[in-house]
Amino acid sequence: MTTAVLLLIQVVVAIAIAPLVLGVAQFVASILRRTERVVPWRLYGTIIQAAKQGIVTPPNASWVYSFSPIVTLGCSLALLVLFPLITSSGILIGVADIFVVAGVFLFLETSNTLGRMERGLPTSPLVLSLIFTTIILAFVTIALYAGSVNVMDAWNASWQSAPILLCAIGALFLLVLAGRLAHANHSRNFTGFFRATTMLAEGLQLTVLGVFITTLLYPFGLVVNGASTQDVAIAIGVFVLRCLVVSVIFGALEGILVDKRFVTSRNVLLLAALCSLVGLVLSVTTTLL
Amino acid sequence: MTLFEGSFAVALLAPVVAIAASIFLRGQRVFQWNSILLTLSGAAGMVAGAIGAIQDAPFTLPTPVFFGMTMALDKFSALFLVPLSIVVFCAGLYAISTSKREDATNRQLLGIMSGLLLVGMQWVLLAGNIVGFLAAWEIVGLSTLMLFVAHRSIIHLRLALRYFVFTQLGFALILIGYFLLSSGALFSDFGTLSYIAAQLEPRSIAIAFGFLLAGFGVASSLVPFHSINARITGHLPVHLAALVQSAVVMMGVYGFLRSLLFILPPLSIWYAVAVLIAGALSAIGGGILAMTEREPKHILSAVSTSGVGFTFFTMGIAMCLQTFGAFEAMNAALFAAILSVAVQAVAKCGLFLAVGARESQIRLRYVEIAALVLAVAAVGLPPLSLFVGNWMVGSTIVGALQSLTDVWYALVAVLLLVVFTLSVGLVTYALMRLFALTFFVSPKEEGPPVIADVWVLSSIFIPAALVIAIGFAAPRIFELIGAGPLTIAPGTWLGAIIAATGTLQLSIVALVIGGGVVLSWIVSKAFPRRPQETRILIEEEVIEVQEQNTVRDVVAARSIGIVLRGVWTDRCYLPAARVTHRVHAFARRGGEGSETNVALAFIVLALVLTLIFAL
Repeated sequence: MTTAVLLLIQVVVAIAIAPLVLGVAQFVASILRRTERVVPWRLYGTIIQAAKQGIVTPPNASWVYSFSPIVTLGCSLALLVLFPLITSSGILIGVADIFVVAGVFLFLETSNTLGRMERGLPTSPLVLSLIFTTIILAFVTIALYAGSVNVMDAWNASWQSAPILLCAIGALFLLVLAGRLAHANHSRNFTGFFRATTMLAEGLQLTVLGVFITTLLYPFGLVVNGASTQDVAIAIGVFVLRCLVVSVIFGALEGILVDKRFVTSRNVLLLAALCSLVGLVLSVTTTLL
Repeated sequence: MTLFEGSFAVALLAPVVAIAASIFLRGQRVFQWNSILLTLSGAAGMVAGAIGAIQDAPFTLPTPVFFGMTMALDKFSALFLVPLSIVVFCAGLYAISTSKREDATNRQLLGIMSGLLLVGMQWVLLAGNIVGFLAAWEIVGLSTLMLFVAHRSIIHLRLALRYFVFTQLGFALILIGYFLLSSGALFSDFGTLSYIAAQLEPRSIAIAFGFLLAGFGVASSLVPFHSINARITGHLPVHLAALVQSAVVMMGVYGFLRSLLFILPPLSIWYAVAVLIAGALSAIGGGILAMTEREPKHILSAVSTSGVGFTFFTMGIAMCLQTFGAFEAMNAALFAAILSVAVQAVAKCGLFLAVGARESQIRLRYVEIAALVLAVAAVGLPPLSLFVGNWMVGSTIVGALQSLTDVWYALVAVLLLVVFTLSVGLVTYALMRLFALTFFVSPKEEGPPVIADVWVLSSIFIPAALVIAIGFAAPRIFELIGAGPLTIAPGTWLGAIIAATGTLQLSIVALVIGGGVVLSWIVSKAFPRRPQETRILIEEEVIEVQEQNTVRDVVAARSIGIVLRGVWTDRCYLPAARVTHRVHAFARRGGEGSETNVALAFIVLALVLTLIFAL
């Protein structure tokens, strides 16, 4: 198969599975928190139902109210083509630079922040800095071992030969966890189509970063240009498996940690930034000393 | 007379005529003619600067003025003349509209001083020797002070005095720096100065460098010299505040960069460390300060401090790379610094004017969108122009990190990376907060909305369009100004910038992000809009206010929106919709297509185009 077809398959499969990833995470979290059970595939129905309601705009909302969820979903879709989820030879391989990827994340989070400001919700001034710092430092650490700043080549870095990479991977893990803690009830701020958009974007972000982390830990199951249909089917299967593992892990952590006093999204982000910094410093010192 | 000579002459003469007109005219006409002439000077300066930046030979003005002063426009000064002229042009456009409402008492003094400010800034760029440069510098400082004094009442005289002390302190530091470098020969030109400086002892160079860094730091509002400039800006009319915070601050960067590149001999890494520390403190400090301020103009001033700090930080990186002999990476960092300062000047000017428009009760969605574009551009988010500069800086640091063999230097590179990421994040939040405070919060003295005229709208839309265009045209611009080795395929939409770690194709990045956003927007258009049933809607009064606002928005938007909507509807949307309906009807053998299908057709078309492009 050509790279374009592989990328299209990656996008379609990821969009299709994103609500399930989020649903499974919520299901696991609901079991652990002993709250009302959430059916894993309920989000498909919720998203369709919310989308059918049309676009519901509060009377005093500005255009940013509509703009924020659309940009969030748009950036989440952009992330789908920049990360190696099913294929590592995307047509946009030349663009998937760490600064571009970090920039897209910053753009996404900026639109979220602006949306929160528009609705008068509290925002934390350090969140954007911490997210950007964590992503750049973690990816630079990975790039030092992978020999390339391209995110598509990141799986060349093996943590078995360089255990310090676990710091960078851990930082990304904490970043996703902070996102889960921050966005636990994020979609409730919206109604109608925008709620559907926000939930889908949330699911896509969890899928992209979660699967990327598992790919860094176990770099197999990615196909390249010219792969046979059988290989692609296996890669899709591996991807779905990764998604389920990710959703169970993050759902469990969300269920355990969400009500803890000091485990706030900002604290976890701070920890993620520190973890990425420690990872980079250790990798630089161990390589050069 | 060539186009370059003509435009250059107009750019230089228009502010002089503005000063003369301010002396002889009376009443409201002072402001009107002043703004028109400043706009004209800005427009001509853009043309002259653009041509000057492309041509190789410097253009020397034929008549030497007093004391052997020479004035010449070389490639380097032309690079700064372009953003200066853009800022002047936009501020002038805004002033054309606001001059009708301006009720200041000292009209003539304000007119003379704004003309003199522009003359001073142009002279700073053109000065070929020390005395000319210092004289121009003093004119800029004093005219800014007089603008403040002429505009405000006596209660702000203490602030004016403090500003005077600061400007004179900056001037004195620069004077001492150049005095030491030239061994007292202040009348020598920059070429001779460079020769004399190369003969000096390292200790004298170190002292002179310290004075110059501090002097230009005061002029550029670096931390800890930032507060007075921010306070002065808060009291100036918005177009003059834009001039001071965008153009005057840029002059400080120009002066330091000119001294660094053309006058001082190659310096050791400790000098680079000093510049890096000054830049990093301002980049982070400005960002933190911007988060604590509540007044939009003060937030913008703090963001300006952070931006200039970032430019000094980038210059420090370039100096470090020079000492390591990594000249390609040094070039990338230097051009990133120049691009960064130019884009920030344009974006800040547009933001000041947008804030001013909102304060004068112009409530228009297009202005808000333009302001958001400018804010995003000032931060450097992809795919807007400053992202190119940020990407070049980031890639240079990572490239250095990959190639360094000394662990301490590598740790410094990590520290630089942390400063870079933190400052970008802090400024992003500060600018989003500025946007929220300006456009989401109703001002205390909310009056009836003002219908924006074409001058105000142009003064905001032109910088917004420029900050988008500069990013995509960056490879071509770099090639034209002599930085061809930093580019691949410039002039094509696939043109890219090269850095130590790879290439950046901004058009593809824009396609990826824009594609995702446009796709989401098209899908959202397929769903009907309906109001939320809330308590507030039941109150008739609120409904009435909303309807009035909608009518006002429509009236205000009509002047520019009607043309664009007409072109979009008649030339793009309707033909595409017709074709889609026909195809759909054909497929269903006579069935009617709906709006949803049109949207779906657009999605399919976009996917097909992407596939074709990819294959």
